[in-house]
Amino acid sequence: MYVLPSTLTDRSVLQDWLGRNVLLLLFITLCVALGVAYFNFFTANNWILILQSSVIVGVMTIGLAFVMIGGGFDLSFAATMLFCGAVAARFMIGDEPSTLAALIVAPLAGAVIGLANGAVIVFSGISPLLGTIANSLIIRALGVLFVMETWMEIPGDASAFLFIGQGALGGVPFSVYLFVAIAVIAHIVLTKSNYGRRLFSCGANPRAARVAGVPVPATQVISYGICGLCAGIAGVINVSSVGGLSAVFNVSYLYDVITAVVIGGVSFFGGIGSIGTVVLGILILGVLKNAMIIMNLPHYTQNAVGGVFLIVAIGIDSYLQKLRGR
Amino acid sequence: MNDTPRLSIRGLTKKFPGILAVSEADLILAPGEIHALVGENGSGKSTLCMTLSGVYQRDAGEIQIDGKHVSPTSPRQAQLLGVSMMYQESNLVPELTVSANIALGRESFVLNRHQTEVRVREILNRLDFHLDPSVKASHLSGAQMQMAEIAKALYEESKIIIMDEPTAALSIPETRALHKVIRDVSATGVSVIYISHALEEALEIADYVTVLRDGKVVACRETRAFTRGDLVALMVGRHISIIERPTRHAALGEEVLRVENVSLGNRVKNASVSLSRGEVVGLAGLVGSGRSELAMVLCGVIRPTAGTIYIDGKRVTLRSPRAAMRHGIAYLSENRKEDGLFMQLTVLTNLTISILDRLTNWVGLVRGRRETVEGRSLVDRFSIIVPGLGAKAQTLSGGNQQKSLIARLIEANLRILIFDEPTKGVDVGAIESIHKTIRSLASEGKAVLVVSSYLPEIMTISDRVLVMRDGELVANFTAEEVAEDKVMAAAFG
Repeated sequence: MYVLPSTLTDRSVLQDWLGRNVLLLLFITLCVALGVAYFNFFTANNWILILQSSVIVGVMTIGLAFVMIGGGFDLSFAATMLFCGAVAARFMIGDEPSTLAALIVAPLAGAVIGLANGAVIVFSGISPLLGTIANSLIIRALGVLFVMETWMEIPGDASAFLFIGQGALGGVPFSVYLFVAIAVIAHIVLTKSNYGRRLFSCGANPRAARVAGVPVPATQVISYGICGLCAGIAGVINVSSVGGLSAVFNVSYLYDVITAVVIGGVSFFGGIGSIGTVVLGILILGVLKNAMIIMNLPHYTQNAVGGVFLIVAIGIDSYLQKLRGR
Repeated sequence: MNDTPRLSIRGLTKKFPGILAVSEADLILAPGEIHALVGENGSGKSTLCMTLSGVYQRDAGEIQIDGKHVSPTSPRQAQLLGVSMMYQESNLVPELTVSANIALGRESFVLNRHQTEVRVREILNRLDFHLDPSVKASHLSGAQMQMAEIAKALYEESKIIIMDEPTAALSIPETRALHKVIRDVSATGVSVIYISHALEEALEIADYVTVLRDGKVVACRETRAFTRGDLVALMVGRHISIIERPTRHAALGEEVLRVENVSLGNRVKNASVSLSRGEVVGLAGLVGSGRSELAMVLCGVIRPTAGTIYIDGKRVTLRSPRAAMRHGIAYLSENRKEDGLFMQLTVLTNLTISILDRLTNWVGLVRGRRETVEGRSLVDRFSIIVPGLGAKAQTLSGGNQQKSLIARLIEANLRILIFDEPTKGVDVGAIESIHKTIRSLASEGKAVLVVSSYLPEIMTISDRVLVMRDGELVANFTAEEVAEDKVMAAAFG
């Protein structure tokens, strides 16, 4: 028996559409405003820059989205990214450099670290927020102690490896294709796979998921593994695009990723999120950062703007959660 | 005794959406009187008292305290009017001392610990309570906690103390001690409303007894005018069950599930149950008697602290509901929201979450079309009214949410089904269809256990009725033997 809810009038259809497409509207508005204000905003070069700079953040954002949809959280992905970048660099700077080994082992190392990280959080019942900070300290320390060197430079003749972060196909950076592929796979896993269904159920209501026969701990641990895998891939792209890795490398991808994931509508409360909106979140953040660079804002002003955005996005998420609770 | 009653309630009515919880109830309480309120679960005892103590606001009627009209709008205000309510679970703060707990909420702006303690000691002495005011609440026994709660009520200068099942967590000597305390308190002129499921207790301690049924006061007499049998008859007093008992062809199959001496702390004690193919077993008992806990043990939600479970005669350990499902046990929780539905997810996901493996292809993707077909057929078969399969579960009415859960469970096609309150919050028409479904499951050869607070439901669908009381299985009636009053008698003990 199907009935339309009586409340679904024309007006709320519009509201409903607006609600679902608010991010798209925000993105378009932002682009139009910037396009009007700065004539070089809509140039191909600028957009390639925006996309390229969004890729590393984007890949990790997708990983974090998995964890959050399953009801967890991860702050260790940035450390994992560094660790895996160092693993990849190790394979490239030895006596017998092996691109293939670097490309396979580094992401796998990320997945393994992610699984271990997730197992600690899920089986101990520690707050993921605090537990993954602790894990990130451990991961970073292990990386510095055993894998990294002060400066690991990828030899200039490792062209296949450097192509990942620096090469382009048809004018578009290769890493952008990589990101699109990852996004498509992630979308299919989340919406069409058995695992995706279970992940959503764990985040939406872990107790009910357990009663319904979902293996909740395994499902959640795997989501941390996916996050680690994404961080590993991001680490490889990072090393490849920089052409090396420094042990004191200190770009704060952490805040960018969290901002993108929250703007992208992934709920801190679990069970809600989609790759489509996450990609929009990544693009909005990318465009915003690009605009601030065009406007030549000082670094700390950029940080402040980023912070404001994060607060507003988290506020909206909490507000929506309150509405859902009613 | 003074002529003006301490408390006079007239024509009190409280409605909740769809339920008349209390209907035109009258209650008169003299100073120093102990008045017992008895009735089944949902008869309106608690609602009546919570209206008096300011938790709920009444829809009609009047309340007078010492001849003055009052309308408490919050528990705090009721306290200021002299009404204290003690709940089943202690509200003491474990980390605070007895005296700090007693004075909690009544401290003057500048805390004078010494002065507080002197007053607390004075009250404890007056009551002849052997309780050290400087000890932390976490060190108290159940009865001592109740004593502290009573002292708290007196510290607040309450004239009326409402006790909701004060002995639920107490041992027999503790109960005896508490009763002495209650008598002493009433001797000082404080009136006590005593809510209890234990009829003996009510008869022993109360001066007056009021019986509630379906929100109405059906009797109010001096205690000595009642016998235990009277009370049970008054409490049950139903006319006809709504549904006819189906005729059954009891072709019992072999035993599929057997548990021996299962315990869960002191919530389930040494319970042994056996379920056979083709039978519906009803599990009755009061709320808190351990029914739901036993059900949860049987389907792997909680691990028992002792005892063994056999399926098809083989000993098994059920580590999780998932493990139980692998052994063929399906479970419907009584908590639809917490342990059942995914409110923000689609109806389709809610319907198919337990059968995903069956709908998944070799790469791990869900076969979309098969899933939709499955979902549509469930919606049709169980007459679930939905805006569409893609609608969120929270848009469904309570009854349709329940039907969705039952549909999910049945579609998992398991051999042993455990339903905890299967018709909770479901409208009458749907109740009947759920009962038919349960009966037909049994006739297909499945073993079904139904936990229910609703006696007519147990009477209607069960081939056998088990009764729990205080964590123990106290009775096992066959369909021929079973009668409402027997079940009630066993449940109340």
